[in-house]
Amino acid sequence: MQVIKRLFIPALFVVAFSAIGFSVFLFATRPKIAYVDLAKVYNGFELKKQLETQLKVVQQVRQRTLDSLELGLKMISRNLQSIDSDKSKNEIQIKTNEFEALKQDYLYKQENFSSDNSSLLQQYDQQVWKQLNQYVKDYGEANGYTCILGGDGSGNVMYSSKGLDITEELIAYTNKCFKGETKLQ
Amino acid sequence: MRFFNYILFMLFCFLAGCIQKELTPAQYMTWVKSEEHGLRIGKQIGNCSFTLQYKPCEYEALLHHKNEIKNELDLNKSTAPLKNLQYFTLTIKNADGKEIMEEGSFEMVEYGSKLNYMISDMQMDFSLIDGNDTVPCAFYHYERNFGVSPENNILLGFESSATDKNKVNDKTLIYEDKLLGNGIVMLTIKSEDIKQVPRLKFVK
Repeated sequence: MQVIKRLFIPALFVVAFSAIGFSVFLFATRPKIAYVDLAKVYNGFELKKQLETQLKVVQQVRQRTLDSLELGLKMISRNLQSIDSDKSKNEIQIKTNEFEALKQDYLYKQENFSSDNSSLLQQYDQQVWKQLNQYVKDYGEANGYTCILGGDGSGNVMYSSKGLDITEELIAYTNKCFKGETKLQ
Repeated sequence: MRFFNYILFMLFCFLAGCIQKELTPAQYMTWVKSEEHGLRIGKQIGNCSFTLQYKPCEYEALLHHKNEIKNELDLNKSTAPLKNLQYFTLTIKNADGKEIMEEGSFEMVEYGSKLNYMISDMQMDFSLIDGNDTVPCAFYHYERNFGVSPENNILLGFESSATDKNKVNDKTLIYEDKLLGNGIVMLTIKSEDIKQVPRLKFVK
């Protein structure tokens, strides 16, 4: 009986320490999961903003070219309407040919610009995602995340507590990486 | 008295921190190349890694005239013609160890046009943000290695910022990548790291 009494307290300590150790182990090896608002991260990414500005400049220049062609078409059309059809058939023919040529040019350019704009948008999009994916991976590795989920409002993440939302930290980190302010790893 | 000693100790520590380090040429070269000191920075994008090395004039002079520079006077002579530019080396490396022109090139024509771009046109895609100024690339050289090494070195030189030649600013290299589809690549060397560069000492 006395032996049991003597062993009881040390045994209690062993059990308590084991329980604490096991809890610490479980805590340390638990999967670390977070989620981000993808749209916010994408829109807050500096490269996306810069490429968007570049795209707008290109689109504006192209639109200006189309606008001047359109203006030319309108002027020829007005000239055509003002010419007296009985007096100068030859002049009408010349103007009509000029109008047709300009119209063809306008339609050709409109189609080309439209397809170029969409391919440029696609190219910029790929560049943004290429860098963004890399920086999110770097962030996850640097901070020991098992998984970072991207919620885009389409139901990928239906609910998450605010503590798991790392959107703002990730935006700051990705922009820092983009500016190349991180040291070599 | 004890308080006075404490103040003296603090003053000593402060002064010791302010004194610029002095290194021998060999130590200096190693110091500049070390990744700990912030003059060599890099980033990974997909399969590609970009490493930027900032090269102070003294480093550049030692690199080219190592055996001729024996004292301060030789050093001043060698650095004088280099002072109007800021020097960098950008290293682009593929994870698969290929030459970067080979990436996505299925035909020799494509390889050739990429090589042409790297030899000359690529210069136009580099610029440097130095403080408030954006400086175009004034000196450019691509070190072709014919596939011997996966590292592709590009030597770059930019004029010093026009606003204040004596002020040390953060220096951000911008490369508008038209070769590997990475978009705009930026790398920043911090001004505090440039200010930490040690002085050279010569053993008599």
